[in-house]
Amino acid sequence: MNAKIALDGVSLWRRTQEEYLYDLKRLLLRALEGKHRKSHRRRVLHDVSLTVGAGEKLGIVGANGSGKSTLLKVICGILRPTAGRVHVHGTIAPLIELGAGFDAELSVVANITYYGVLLGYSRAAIESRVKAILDFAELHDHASEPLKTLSSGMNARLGFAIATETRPDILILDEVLSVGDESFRQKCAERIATFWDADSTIIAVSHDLNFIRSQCTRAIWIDGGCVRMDGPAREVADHYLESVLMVHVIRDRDSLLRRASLRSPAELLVRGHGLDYEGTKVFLVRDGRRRWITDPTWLTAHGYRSPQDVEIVDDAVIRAIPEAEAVVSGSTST
Amino acid sequence: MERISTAGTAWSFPRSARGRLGFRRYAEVVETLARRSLKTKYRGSVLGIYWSLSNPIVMTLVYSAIFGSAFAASYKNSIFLYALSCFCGLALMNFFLQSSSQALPSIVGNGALLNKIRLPVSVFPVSTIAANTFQLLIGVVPFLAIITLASSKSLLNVVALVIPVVSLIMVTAAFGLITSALYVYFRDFQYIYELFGFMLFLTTPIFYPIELVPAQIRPFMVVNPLAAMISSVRDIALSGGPPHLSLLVFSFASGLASLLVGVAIFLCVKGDFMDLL
Repeated sequence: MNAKIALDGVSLWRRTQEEYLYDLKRLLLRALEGKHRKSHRRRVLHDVSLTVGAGEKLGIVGANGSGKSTLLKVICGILRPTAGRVHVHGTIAPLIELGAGFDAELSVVANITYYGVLLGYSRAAIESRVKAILDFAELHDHASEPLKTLSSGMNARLGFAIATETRPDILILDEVLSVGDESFRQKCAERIATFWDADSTIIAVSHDLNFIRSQCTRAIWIDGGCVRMDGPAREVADHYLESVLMVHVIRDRDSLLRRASLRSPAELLVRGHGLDYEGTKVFLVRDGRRRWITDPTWLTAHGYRSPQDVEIVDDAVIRAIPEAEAVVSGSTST
Repeated sequence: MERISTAGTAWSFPRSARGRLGFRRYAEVVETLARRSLKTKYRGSVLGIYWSLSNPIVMTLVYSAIFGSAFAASYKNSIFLYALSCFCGLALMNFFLQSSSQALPSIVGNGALLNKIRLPVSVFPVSTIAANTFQLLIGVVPFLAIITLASSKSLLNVVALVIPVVSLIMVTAAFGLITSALYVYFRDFQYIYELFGFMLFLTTPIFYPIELVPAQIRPFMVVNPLAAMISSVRDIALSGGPPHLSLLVFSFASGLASLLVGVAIFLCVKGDFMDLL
């Protein structure tokens, strides 16, 4: 396989900042008192091995603080691993907090060349693209104004336009998929879609499991700095969801009936309107009354936190049960 | 996300963000950062750069007014010569102090950026020094060249100016790298550095003749990293005679040595930077 990214046994230890004094005066005084503390290090990534081939669309799921963004930073070369090797072939465009490097005092055009060079364009390349970027960001009227006069939405538009002006070999998405108002959002989506269709390698971190399921071919689940699971996006997202909500994800009709110990789907009642929660649509609650619940907060509020109580059923399963479908579409509360 | 395929859209490919950061890329980033800081400082006015001369000129006038007559004896009884000597010292010292104190917060100040975009950490102090060097070369150096030409009437002296100026830039770069690195670790370092800067200013014979310093103290002043460059510039620009080779060699050697030490310290400690930003 034509590997674009290869991580081999990557571990990262970082100094914990709270342990650190940041203060020469106090450090000296403490040293005089004999209370010198050694710097403390914490393991953020542990033995991560990962190969991403050309054109692969990899999703990364995991809880907050599990090391997803850190992993992206290692791939981008922002952080150096303590152990292990990172090989990256091709150009990377990191869409991480767009516009973080803008200078509010400079004009929009000056910011394009400035930020563009920081992102990795050559000066000549970015200068020849200024017009195209202004076009895309729809900021021609503001070209010579200082950036501080722009709204935050315009800022984000500019950041997106610069970062995606050329198609990168590898695109890194950290929850930044679309910015600005609705029409611009659409433009962003279109542009990213072209990357998606072309053979760009894409790595996306998202809490939107729906997105991971539908857009990624493969996913990894990062837990405590380790790769807990690596496989088809659908499977990984399901397992992740099961662990988080402590629920079962059901993907076929028979196991649904078996689990709910129903004789026929007609026993189901439906509550709620939408059937949309993180890609798996409906919760079947085993409380004797067998209801469909669509609202996850309802679940937690009622204390359903274990796999014995809650099952999540895929949309397709519902469709496969004509009776259930009928109840769903005419859904009202119980 | 909506999937809309826009077939036929041609995406051009050239990108310089290769896996390895080449020298050209480094230079380009430094240039861009330096341009930005000059641009925001002077808002595009070319004359703005000469504004940087106003500080040493005003200070020279003040020192000449107060100490000029008292110290004139050491300057061939000429207050004018005292003023020129004072100006050379102040302009160079000013460059050093301003660059290094601007470089000091440069890494910490760009910590957020370093966490978002892959950049070599050193570009921030280096670009600060580069911007100040540009200012020095446009503003102060032509001034020194004119003084030199007027006093020595020798092009050799004008050319020789290059050596102490380059040495000074090397020392400044070394201090910029070291202070910016230390500030990552110690956020109270700038107060200490202010004190250091003031000490350096006082212990460098800028507005007083070195003969004023007691003979037993004078040997210690050799440690001053700037003394050699400043006396070399004065020797070339004001003495009227040919440049002293020993001063040139000494200033260049100490400049190079400081730069190497500065780079070595920076490389040693930069590994932990990202964890502390």
